[in-house]
This record gives sequence, C-alpha cells and structure tokens, in this order.
Amino acid sequence: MPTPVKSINDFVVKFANVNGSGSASANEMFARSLLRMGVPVASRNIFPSNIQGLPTWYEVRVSGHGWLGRRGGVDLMVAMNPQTWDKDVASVDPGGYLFYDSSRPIPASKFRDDINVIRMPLTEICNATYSDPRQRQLFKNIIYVGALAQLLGIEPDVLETLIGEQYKSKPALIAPNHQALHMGHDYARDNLAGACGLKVERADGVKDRIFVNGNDAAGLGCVYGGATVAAWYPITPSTSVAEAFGKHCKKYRVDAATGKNKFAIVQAEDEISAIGAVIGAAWNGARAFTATSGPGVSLMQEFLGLAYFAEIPVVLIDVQRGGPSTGMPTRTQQADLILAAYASHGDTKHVMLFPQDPKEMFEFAAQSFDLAERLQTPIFVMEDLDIGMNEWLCEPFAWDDARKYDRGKIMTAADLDAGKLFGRYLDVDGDAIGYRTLPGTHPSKGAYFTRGSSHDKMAKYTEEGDAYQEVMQRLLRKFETAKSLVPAPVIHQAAEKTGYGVIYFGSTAPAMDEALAALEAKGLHLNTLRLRAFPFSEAVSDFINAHEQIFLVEQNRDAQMRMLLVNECSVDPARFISILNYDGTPITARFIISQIAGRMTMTSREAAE
Amino acid sequence: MTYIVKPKLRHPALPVNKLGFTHRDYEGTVSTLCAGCGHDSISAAIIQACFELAIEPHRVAKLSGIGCSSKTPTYFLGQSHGFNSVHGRMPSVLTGANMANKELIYLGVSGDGDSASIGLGQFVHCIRRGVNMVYICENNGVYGLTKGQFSATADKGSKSKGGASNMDTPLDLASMALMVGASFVGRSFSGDKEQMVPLIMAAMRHPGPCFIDIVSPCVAFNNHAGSTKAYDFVRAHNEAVNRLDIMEPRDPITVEYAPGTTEEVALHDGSSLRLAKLDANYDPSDRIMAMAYLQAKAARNELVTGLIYMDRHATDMHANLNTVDAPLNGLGEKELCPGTKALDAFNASHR
Amino acid sequence: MEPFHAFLSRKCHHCGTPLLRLGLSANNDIVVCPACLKAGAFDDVLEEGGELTDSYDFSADTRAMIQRLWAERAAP
Repeated sequence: MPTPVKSINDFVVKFANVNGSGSASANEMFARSLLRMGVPVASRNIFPSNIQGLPTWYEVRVSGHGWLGRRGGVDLMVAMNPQTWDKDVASVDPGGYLFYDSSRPIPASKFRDDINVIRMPLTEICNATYSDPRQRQLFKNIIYVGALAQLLGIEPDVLETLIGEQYKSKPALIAPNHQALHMGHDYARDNLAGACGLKVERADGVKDRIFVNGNDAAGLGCVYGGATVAAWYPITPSTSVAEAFGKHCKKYRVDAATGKNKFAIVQAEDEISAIGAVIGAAWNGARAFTATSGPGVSLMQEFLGLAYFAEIPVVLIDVQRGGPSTGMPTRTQQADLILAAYASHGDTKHVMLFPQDPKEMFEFAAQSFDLAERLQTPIFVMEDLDIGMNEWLCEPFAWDDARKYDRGKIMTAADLDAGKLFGRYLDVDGDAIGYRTLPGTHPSKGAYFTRGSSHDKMAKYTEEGDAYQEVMQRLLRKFETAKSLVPAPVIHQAAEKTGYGVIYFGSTAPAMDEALAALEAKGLHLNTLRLRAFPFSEAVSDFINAHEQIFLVEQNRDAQMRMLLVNECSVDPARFISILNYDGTPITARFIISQIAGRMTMTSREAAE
Repeated sequence: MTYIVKPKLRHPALPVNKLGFTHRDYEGTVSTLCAGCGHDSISAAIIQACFELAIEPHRVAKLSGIGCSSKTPTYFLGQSHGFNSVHGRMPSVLTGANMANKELIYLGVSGDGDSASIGLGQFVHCIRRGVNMVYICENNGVYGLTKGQFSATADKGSKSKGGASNMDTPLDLASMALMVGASFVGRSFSGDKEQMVPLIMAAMRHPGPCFIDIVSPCVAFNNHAGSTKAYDFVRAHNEAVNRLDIMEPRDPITVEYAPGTTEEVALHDGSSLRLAKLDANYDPSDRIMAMAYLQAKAARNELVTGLIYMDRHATDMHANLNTVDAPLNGLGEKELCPGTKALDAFNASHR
Repeated sequence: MEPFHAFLSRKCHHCGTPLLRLGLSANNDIVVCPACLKAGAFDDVLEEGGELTDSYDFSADTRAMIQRLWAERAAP
C-alpha cells in the first residue's frame, strides 16, 4: 500500500456525477470556495452529449503555484455515479483517495488496495433528514461539499458566504443549505478525522483575477465591440455564446427611455441562413456576428467565399470541438485551422485570431469588429470548447472609455457630394482596401452591385483576365495589410541561450507555462512564441529561422498549424517537431514535458552554438 | 460605344412624380434577357410602381439570388444598392440587411429555380419571421439560366421543350406563403401590367412580409404547347379574383362601381386600396379561405391572380424583436458600449 | 435538337437589328446580328461592353440557321 498522498494546495479533485442531478452548482461552489481562500484553481467539465442521466465529470486542479492547465491524474475522486464506478476507481493515482457514498454496500473486489477509501453514508443521512426526493437529490450535493470542506480544511464561513450569494434572490433557501453544509461538515469531523492528506491553506495567489467562462466572455466582448446584429444556429459548444450575448444585451442594450432594444438577434433555421444574415447586416453597415463550431463552418463555406471575394465584413466565432464530421461534440480540439484559413472553393485566405483564455476572448471578440470593418473581410475568432465551456481564472477585463470603433472606409453622402471618386474596389490609399458606400446613402451617387462573380475595380462585372487578376492580387496585398493590424505574437526568451524554440497557441497556454517551468528546472531551456493571429507576421518567420529545432504544439491530428506555417512562411519544414494532443481532452503539462524532454537530445546550450 | 450605358437624354416635357423624379430615374441598364421575356415586363412594372409611389430610388435595397430573374435588379432602380447573392440564399441576406436598417424598402427578386428548391427553406423562414419586404418570385417553371430544366413549380404532366414530361408534384409558392404567415400575398402574370403595378405598389407600402408570385413565361424554354406557364395557357386559365387600385388621400373618384362590388381598405399611411371584386365571394382578408380557394382552383388547372390575401393589422420582425426606432446601423459607441463602470461590476461579480 | 437560340431586346449598334443569341456549345453562347452577321461572345458583348466584330467564322449550316430564324421572326 503506497503512502497516502499528502499535499497542501497542490492536488486534483475529480467529481463523478450524474448529469442533471444538481451537482454542477455544488461542485462549482466547491471550486469557488478555494478561490475565495486565495488559492488558484483550474476547473474543467467533461460533458456527455446528451442532456440528463448520463455521466458528467468535474475536475478541479488546485494549484498554489497558479498552474491552470490540466495536470493529469487524480488525487481525490468523489465517486457519486455508480454507472462509472470502475472507470472512476481506476483513474485515481496510487496513494490517492476515493470518497463515496457508503449507504449501499459495494463488494471489496470493486476497490483497489493501493488507494485510500473515505466512506460516508450520504443517502442514509439524506433520507433520514429529508423526505422530498428532489430535496434529497439536491441537498446530498451540499452535504458532501460540507464533508469535503472539513476533510480538506476549507474555511466553513467561505462556503456559507457563497451560499448566501447564490440564493440572494431566494433567501428562504439559505438556511436549509447552510444546515446541509453543516451536516456534512459535522459528520466528517466526527467520523473522518485524518482520513485525507490533501489540505487547503489560505494564500494570496488569486489577487484580483476573475473566474469566468470563454463563451460568456465572447458574448460580452461582442457587446463591448458594438455588435448590434447576431444570427446563429444552436450547436454544441457555441450556443452559449449567443445566449450570453442575448443576456448581456438585455442588461446593457435596452434603451432606458423606451424599453426598446439596441440589438437584433435571430436564431436562424440553419447555419447557412445565419451567416447569410450576418453578411446582409454587415453589408448594410451594422456590426454583425455568428457563433458556431466546426460543422457549422463547413456549411457556411459558400457564403464565406462570397464575403471574401465581395469584401464584406464578417465576424465568425468558431468554438472548436472534436472532429471530423459530428466527431466529439463535447470534447475539445484545435482542428478547424485549415478549414478557417482557406474556407471556400477557389483561392481564399481568411484572418484568424487565437485567444488563449476568456480575457483574450473578450478582447479579441471586441477587436474582431474593428478588424472586420477595416479589412472588409471575414474574421474567424478561433476559440475552443476548453476555453468556452469551462470557468477560467484570468485577469479582469478592461476597457478604455475613450476608445472609438474603427468603422473602416465608408464613403458618406458628404464625400460623394464633394466629388470624391467612388469605385468600390479601387485601391486609393495603397493599403489594398477600397471604400464602400452603404445602401440608402445618396440619391444619385455611390450605388453599386455586390456580387460573388468576378468584378473590376468599379464593381462592374468582368471576366477579363487582367482585371480579375488585379483584384485577386489586391486581395493578397490586403492580407499583407492585415499582418500589421492583428494581434502580434507573444515572444519570450529563455533564461539561458538556446537553439530550441516552441510555438503554441490558444488554450495550450496554461499547460505550456507549467511545462516550461518544469523543463527549465531540468536545465532544458526553450524560447517561446505564442501565436495570436493569422496571417503570420515577420516576427514569426524570424523566430522560426532563428532556431535549429522548433516544437510546434497543437491539438489536432494532422498538425494543421504546421501546414499553415510551412505554406505561408519561407521556412524550412525540417525545423519543426510536432507535438500533437487530439484525444479530445485538454493538453496537459505532463504530456508536453514528456514529449519535449524526450526529444531534446542536446542540452539547449549545445543547440544554441 | 458600349451597350451598357443608356443615353441620359431628358425631354423637358417628361412627366414627373410627386418628388420630381421622372420615369427614367427609376430605370436601370438595358436588359440582356431574351426579347419577349416575361421578366422584362416585371421589371417595367417595378419601375412603374416605384415611379407612381414616388419613393426615393436610393431608399430601396434590391437583393436577388442566382438565375435569369436574379439578373433583373440591374435593369431597374439604377440608384439603389443591389446584392446578387448565392443560389437560393437571398432571403437570409435580405433578413440581415433589414435587421441592420429598418428604414429602407427591401425588394427581393427571385425565381422559381432559386426559391422553390435550394431556396425553399430560406423562402419559408424569412416569411415566418415576418421580415418586412417585397418578395417577388418570377415564376416560369424552368431553370432558364441553365437552359431549361424543370423547376419545382412545373406542373405535373407539363412538357419540356425537348418533350420530357414532369412527373413530380408542383409546389405552389403562393399557397406556401399563406401557410407560413405572409401578411400580403398576391399573384399576377407578366402579361398583365395593369394588375401587376398596383399589387407591387400595395406590397411596397405594406409593413410586413409580402409575397407576389408572378407567372413569367420563358420564351426560350417554356412557352410552347404542353407548358402551363406559356403566355397562351396563362391567358386562357387566368382567374383574377379582384382588381386593385391605390388611392391617394386626395385622389378624385374617377370610376363608379356597382354597389357591393368594391371594398376600400385604409392603409396605415393615409392612402387606401380599392379592391374591385371580380369574384363576389372572394374575401382577401380570410387566410384559411384563401388557401382552400387556391387549392381548389389549382386542382382544376386554374390560376388564381390578384390580391389573394392581405392582413390589415400586419406586424413585422422588428416589432417582434422590439428594436429601437433608430436604424441599428446608425448607432455608435455612446449607445452601444456599456463602459468601464459596467465592466468593473462584471469583474466584481466574478470573483 | 436545334442549338439554343433566342432573340434579345438589345439591338445591333451598327444597323439596329435585334440581336440573336446562339448557343454554339455548352457554356459558349454568342450574340450575332442576323442582318450584318457581326458577332461576339455573349458575356463579353452584353455584360462587358465588348464590340460585335466580323471575325466570327460561321459554318454554312450555322449561317443558314441564322438567316432562317431571322426570316421566321420577320414573317407576319
């Protein structure tokens, strides 16, 4: 029997529940109580695709150091779902703890002898106290949270405060919840003293950070970014972006005097209609967006090609999930890169943004509208399920009240009256971007046809080779212009000179931070570049060319980011070593460390010479 | 010299409308369609309707899909912005454009090829949603642009130019529009300008989803014996249920009708519609009766034309969405951005 | 079956005769003036403002068809 795991502020608790049993809010309260004690946590949901009656897991990584990626492994399993018992027991690290409801007897063969079992007769306790089945269900969750609090040393008043906040609008529920909490707490104090070597101690690791999920941040970012039109179609995991936008609009975008809405949201009949409406609205001068996932982007391709060629602003938030086809709707991946970069037939290239967490999701969502209108092209904000559907600890959101929206190049009636020459696809300023006019602007000037067919500089139909190629070349030059407008990569030099580099992006970031620290402790140094957008700026090519070997970490099977870098930058593909995690779970620091350390055959110093 | 630009001669004695525009101000470029094409007559009717209504030409947004009929927006309202989108998807683009600016007039021009197959879903849903628009389907039973395949509105048993027979059940878009909530449904025939123009005028005035099905014979592919969308056939099987006139508030009454055969409907902007009933039993304010009537007539190969249905208390998508009066595309940071104070509160509530 | 043909509303700039649109093969339509036999590609002439020219070399059969169609149209 291995030594029981002992740790302060550094362990993983995993809850196994039945979906729809009311456990989600209790588990989240558990996580938040740790944050209130100043201890950073990273929590992740593992959802089934169905609605009720299927298993759901909630993994809380407690990290006094502040590492927010998945660690891998489980120190304390709270096994509340008989259906997944075997799997849950098997996932505990040797020396770890298994907490379960001992009301029903379970044969000894269902346990392991290298883990520590913590028994509590939850159902018995519940049935003795409550008679209503729904109450029994709901309070059971709070009771076990109370017990865990006692086992781990979570301050009771912290949980009491959270209960008070949660039921602020239903104060009658506060006392019964407090009672349930104490019931669990008292049982553990009287029966389970010393049963668990994992402890929580108050710290100052959270500071003023907030705990928020990426889709909520996306919806809020769209509000701050001035979106007035949203058209969307439900799909996992992007539905909550549209719902968040709607919720925030109801709060912030209702005209106080009239009670009317300064926004319009339409749930379209399918993704094609959704992107069509976004294009129509943007064509007509409103900031518009849609949110979807991989399958939706596949459907939208025809319209995306139209928006590219006819040069219409579009914001598309892609919350990536496991593909291909229906794939794994509730698992995460970064597998839509090629799809988004080159969406639609013919020669197309689209701008992509890669936020790393909800804070960047908020910022990039807002910025995407400026980019879309300035560049007159689709902007893909490439989120993923890991960021979108989990609460992340991140820096508080910020805004500058003096900030103005960049509406891009629009010719007004006054401009037209002043005699300015209008040609929709005329490159007047040398930045490869023409001026557009909005419908209804001027009685006799500025009207033109928007179409997906080939056109000349004045928007007239043409199939003449030279005119067509001129437009196509200008679109490439416009893509070059985008390089200076999109978020720049974040580059970090290692403490010691090294010939190794690592490139990564998006939700890989927290696991990468942790992995880099661990590798450095082993004497393995890497310079890092975190990509934040496509097209790639010169800094990206320069970084690649400055390193002998570059680890390229991404979450898809076919190394799609590698494909893009090789395609778009003048670099030697042999420098790349791909590190791929695509099983649908978020990448872990352990995985990155093992993959990189194993391949750094020289010390980083040798590689630098 | 090219064939595109029309000479901008203006005869000093050309009639002008209330706003001082001439008929020319509502025209576009010269049509490239076949001589005798029904679509050109519809374009002419649109021009006439806009002229008589005295709308400002640039305040119309004209959208279309792909097909011969979708080419026609170039041939009218040259001062309006146009959008030829992709096949079957004009309604979604129109819906979004409408969401952005509720104050323009949205004219969606499509054909049966564009609307009744690939576009069937979007056709239904933009009407269901109550988008304030005039949706004209220029209906010839064929895919003209791709040289004459049957469309989904081709009647069962009708013959193609090559002699093939259509065995599939036809769709009647006017019936479908009624079923999914259009608040104004009309049908006409490109050969009947007197019927088309007031229908289009009334639709442009109507605040809600308007659908007008206009049979528009294709002289190249579907104007022969055996076609139910040929000029001869339509003329022989046309049953107009009423005749329409738009009356301005100060228009003198010029025609006397026999009592009980006309109905005057006040429109919300002060003008009114005068309906001269040709079928005394037909009530265009009864949606259910209209649906049954169309089906019964279709079973006997008769084409019902005229104002089929109009809801006098129509509402539209913007009313359902409760949007502010000002067009959304005109709002800026001041109206739209909640600011740092709200963001600080958001942060505080997430700690 | 005869190749696709249809008279247009547009007229020949040189002599005012209604233009005839003719489908020479799939996706290869031309417009030709039946009177002076100047011709050009359909999209080129009608959409892009190209000129009708004498440089089309019609086969005898095509020429005969053009003349027959024009005669049929002109007949009362």
